[in-house]
Amino acid sequence: MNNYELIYIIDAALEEAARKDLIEKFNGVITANGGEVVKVEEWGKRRLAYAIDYKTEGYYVYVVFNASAELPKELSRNLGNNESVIRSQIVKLLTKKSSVKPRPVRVAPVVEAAPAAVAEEAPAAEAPAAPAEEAAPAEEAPAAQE
Amino acid sequence: MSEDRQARRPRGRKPRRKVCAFCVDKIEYIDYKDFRDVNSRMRRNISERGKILPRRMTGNCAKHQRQLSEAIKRARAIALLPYSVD
Repeated sequence: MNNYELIYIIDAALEEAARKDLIEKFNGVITANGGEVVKVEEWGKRRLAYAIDYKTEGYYVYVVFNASAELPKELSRNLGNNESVIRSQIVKLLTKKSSVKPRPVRVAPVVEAAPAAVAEEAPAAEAPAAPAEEAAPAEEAPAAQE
Repeated sequence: MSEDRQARRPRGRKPRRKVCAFCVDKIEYIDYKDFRDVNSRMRRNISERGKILPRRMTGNCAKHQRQLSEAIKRARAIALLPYSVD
């Protein structure tokens, strides 16, 4: 079994119901061939960096799945046959390595720009900080007794 | 005369040793999906024309430059990045 990640672009003109069916269908292809869908992320409608078949917009779907080595071939054949899929790409996911999200300092200005995000993140940021403060005196206390 | 030339640098300012930005951030794997965000700092490695900037401009180390070029090419294939801008 290998981990793979798949990105495909659905025609933005396709209605929502048809799009949902399509996503279901491709998940079905994975499970039917002995694979396991780990995660499905819909990135939504995005501008394409360049026009593909004169289309400038596409609906991005990102899927992570486990499967044997034969499945990507079958899956990409299925994706290629479907006319609503503009483009697809399957990449082997490296489990060992992870991309570390860079520099929290740089993220800060972005958070300020979106006040809603601040409200959500603020409690989360405080929560880990509080136990750390509690832990510190606890460690000091036994040392003082000795 | 040749000594004199060596003593002072031939052209202006001292070359500063650049440090690989990916090494600084301890990034193990450069993800092509990070090009999703238009203002992502990953875009710093691409010229305005959409070309991959050379190592001598960005100061990336060889290991990360290799990963980066692979990531950019993947991002291009799925239309997250342009092949060319003009």
